[in-house]
Amino acid sequence: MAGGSICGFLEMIELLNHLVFGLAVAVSPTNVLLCLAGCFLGTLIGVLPGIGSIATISMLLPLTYGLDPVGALIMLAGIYYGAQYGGSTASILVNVPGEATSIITAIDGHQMARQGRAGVALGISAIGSFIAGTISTVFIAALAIPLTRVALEFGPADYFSLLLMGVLASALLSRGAVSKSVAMILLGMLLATVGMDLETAAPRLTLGYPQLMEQIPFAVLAMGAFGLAELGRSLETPENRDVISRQIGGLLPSLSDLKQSAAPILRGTAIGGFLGVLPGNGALLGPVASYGVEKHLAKEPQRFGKGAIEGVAGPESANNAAAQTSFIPLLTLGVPANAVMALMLGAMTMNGIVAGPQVIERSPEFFWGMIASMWIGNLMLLVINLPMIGIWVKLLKVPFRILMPSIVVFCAIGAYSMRNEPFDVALAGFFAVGGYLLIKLGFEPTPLLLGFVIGDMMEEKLRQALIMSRGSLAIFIEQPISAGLLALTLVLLSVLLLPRVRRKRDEVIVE
Amino acid sequence: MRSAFRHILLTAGAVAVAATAAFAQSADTYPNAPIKLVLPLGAGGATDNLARVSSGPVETKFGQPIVIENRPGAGGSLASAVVAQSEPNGQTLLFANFATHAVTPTLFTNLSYDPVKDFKPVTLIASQPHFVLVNPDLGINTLAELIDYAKKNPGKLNFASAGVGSPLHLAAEYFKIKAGVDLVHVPYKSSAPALLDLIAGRVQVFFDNVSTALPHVQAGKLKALAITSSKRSPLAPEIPTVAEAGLQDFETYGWWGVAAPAKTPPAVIAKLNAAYVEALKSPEVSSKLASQGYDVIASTPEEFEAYIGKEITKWAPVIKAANLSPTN
Amino acid sequence: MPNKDTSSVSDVGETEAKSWVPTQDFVAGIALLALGGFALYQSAGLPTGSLSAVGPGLLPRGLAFGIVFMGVLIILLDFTRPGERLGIVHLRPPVFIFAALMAFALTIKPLGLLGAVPIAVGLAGFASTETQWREIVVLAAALTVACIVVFGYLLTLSIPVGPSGWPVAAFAAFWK
Repeated sequence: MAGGSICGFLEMIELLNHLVFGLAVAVSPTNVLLCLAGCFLGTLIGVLPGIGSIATISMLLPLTYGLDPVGALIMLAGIYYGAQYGGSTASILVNVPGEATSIITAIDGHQMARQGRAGVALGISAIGSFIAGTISTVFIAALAIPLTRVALEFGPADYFSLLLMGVLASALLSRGAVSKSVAMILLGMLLATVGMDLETAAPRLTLGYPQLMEQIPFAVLAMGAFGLAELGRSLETPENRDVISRQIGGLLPSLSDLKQSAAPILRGTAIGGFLGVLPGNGALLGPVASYGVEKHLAKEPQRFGKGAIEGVAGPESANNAAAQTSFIPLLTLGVPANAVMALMLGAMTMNGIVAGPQVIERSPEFFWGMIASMWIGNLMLLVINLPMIGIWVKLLKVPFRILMPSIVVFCAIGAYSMRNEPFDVALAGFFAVGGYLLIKLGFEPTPLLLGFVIGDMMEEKLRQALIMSRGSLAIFIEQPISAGLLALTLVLLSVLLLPRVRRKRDEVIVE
Repeated sequence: MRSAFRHILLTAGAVAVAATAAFAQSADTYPNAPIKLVLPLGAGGATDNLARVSSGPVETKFGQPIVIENRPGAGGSLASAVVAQSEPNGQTLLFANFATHAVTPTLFTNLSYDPVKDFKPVTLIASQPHFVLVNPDLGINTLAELIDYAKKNPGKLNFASAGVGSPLHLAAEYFKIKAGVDLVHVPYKSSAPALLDLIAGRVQVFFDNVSTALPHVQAGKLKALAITSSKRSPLAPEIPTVAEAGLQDFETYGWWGVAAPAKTPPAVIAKLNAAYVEALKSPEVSSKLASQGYDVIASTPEEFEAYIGKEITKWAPVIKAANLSPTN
Repeated sequence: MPNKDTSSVSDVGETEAKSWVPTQDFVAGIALLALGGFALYQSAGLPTGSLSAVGPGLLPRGLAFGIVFMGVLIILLDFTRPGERLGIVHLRPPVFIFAALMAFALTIKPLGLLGAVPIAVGLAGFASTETQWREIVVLAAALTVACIVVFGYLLTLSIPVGPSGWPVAAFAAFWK
């Protein structure tokens, strides 16, 4: 027992040593400045509606050319955090999520903005992100290496089962009828199949357009079916949006807001931190899961979708925790977990850092500097953004008739700049009309987008698992992680559905 | 409504003024404007990096910027179409690769341009061979052992691919034909998850770029049985070539070059070729690329043209054997 | 889930009076049938394969069937318990937003931001009934300048700034 505690103590000392070493690298005035500049520019570009974090990073990437390797990566990390936060800001203020991870924030965040609580939503999102970032930085420093195993243990079958759980969560977390949510999830998954088949290169549902041979870019679908479609709807009822510009409440979250958000922030951090480790965009299930958990735990779940602060605090923390932990596979294995990490890997190679299992031994100053800079990046975000909330909120005072054409133009530029492809701009326009009609028919865009994101990974994992098992479905039960996840899905399903069924039955009896 | 009309007039006026600012150029003074280099892949990747590193000295020499335009999608055919249909004056160039010039001509049968005849090669910049990688737990130590094992256990081993029709995919399909073995294809959209599943042992064989795979080999997570080039790599001199390991006539490379629209004047092509060759032969560029696993080639336009022809003939039967559907 | 069905079920008289307006869910179901049907038609040629060799068509066709099924289900549910009537569809906003994006797509290559931004702003202006054209002109000019400076010069994106041949990158080179 005593030996164990001494061991633990020594480990703590070592961890502290590493972090101090990392801070010493990251805290050089130049690096702090680079981090600050990265965060600031990332926020500034990321906040433009329709320009998501991948687009922001690739736009700002050239700024890091010519810096020393550690500095370049630190700046890039700053840009990434800034872009993520900027994306949430756009979701909250104008309801245009630029990427998958901020779809969930838009649900309650934008409702809060409509109720004059935009400052509170932005504030809680910054504070939650900071807390989540701090916890997960320590988490990474202590557990990066053992956590690598998690990434390796997760095979295609396990992934498929996890995604199945994600589908279930998406169906249940939306506001409207479940049958309509399911239809939208299926439609989203169908849209994800558009393009070349991953095994035979056969064109699927491309309608003969070569531009559709690659997948439909997520941001194009999101800005069309979500942002621009909603924009169209709010144009038809002037009274709806006047609420936004009429009154703006307190700029910062009050003590009771903070109290209400504390537990969701911690739960979100845990959920996001774990899912972020998984390769292949596991990160984006974090906000979905967190929202589902908060809605389920809430005393009045009906507040969700109408501006519940927990619906912003939890998912935003999950989002940021996942953004941190998605560095783990890159730093310890040299394998990027998502598109942003792939850009990071490219920047590492360009700067002569060999990414791979040996990066910790070969370039310790890089590894620990990077981890320390994550925390500094999060601090910078808070420092930059709390004072800027006032400015963002003033943006809401801009008359809608001015804001609307500006959003349209930024979306057009955002859609164009991803692939330098005019077709994508037209596609966003097409999705805007389609999305508007679906909204008029009582469908919601959120499950559509979630279905799109999940469906993309799900098909790949399903097919890989089935090829590995030579066509036997038993693989999903034989693999322990997958079996566990499926069992958990069943338990959740019964927990969530039983009260619903009972309530329905009671209603019928009353009638 | 009258103000709306005025607004449109104003717009039209601005556009007209802007249009007159366009200026002409002649081939003698080439290049007298920035050059656009269209890339068939997205920003920030290895190809993007290669294009920037190799074009840097060309920019300096010409005194004109080379603006890189990323046009990913449809196996590079979107980027190719842009260049094929642009003015043949050397101001718009294609960063050609395995996808645009070795695979597309066979795989895509219904293109708006001719992937071979619409281009004039400038230079083959560099190529990169692959490692034949296996999971170390398999207990296989040489290429001969792998072939032997696969022949005794047909359809037992899985091989991963990253991107349908990519060099990483077709190299493995080519290996199946040449070695006469039956491996099961597990497709991945990108290299990262394929590497993870290989390290974890869920797939057993993977052909990956030397630069990406080397750190994993050096860390002992993966075993490289052979390199698919004719010479050993200076980065990993201990890894034998495929021929040395007993499989003759089997070479695979990812490769990258510059191509211009077909009607570009020969003088412009010559000038471009000279500039790129000089850039690639500079110690700074060549050592940087060598350290990233590339074999710097810097060929003449004729050599590049011949190379493209050979690649198309070499891969067409592999694409057919891999059961890839010919697509539009 | 608070259900809105109960109120409309209770006032049956009103429902019958307006019966020429279809319910929202009925139209929603029809829309799903149309979307699913279209996807089935488009994916008809794709082989579905088997479990051991899943073909390119399995997922698209499976999902399209799922959408058709949900369409039928929603229509049936609506028959048993008619929901709210279809709201008024205003075509003006989506049509002009679509037009603005379409115009941007068509003009960005030939005219660059200099032409595409003001045209898109102008068309987007038509989407709203309360547009004040004086403001739109100022906005178009300001946005054009801002976009050219930020995206064209500061970030040196490869987005065209002006009509082709415009000495954009010469300025960009200066900024580097």
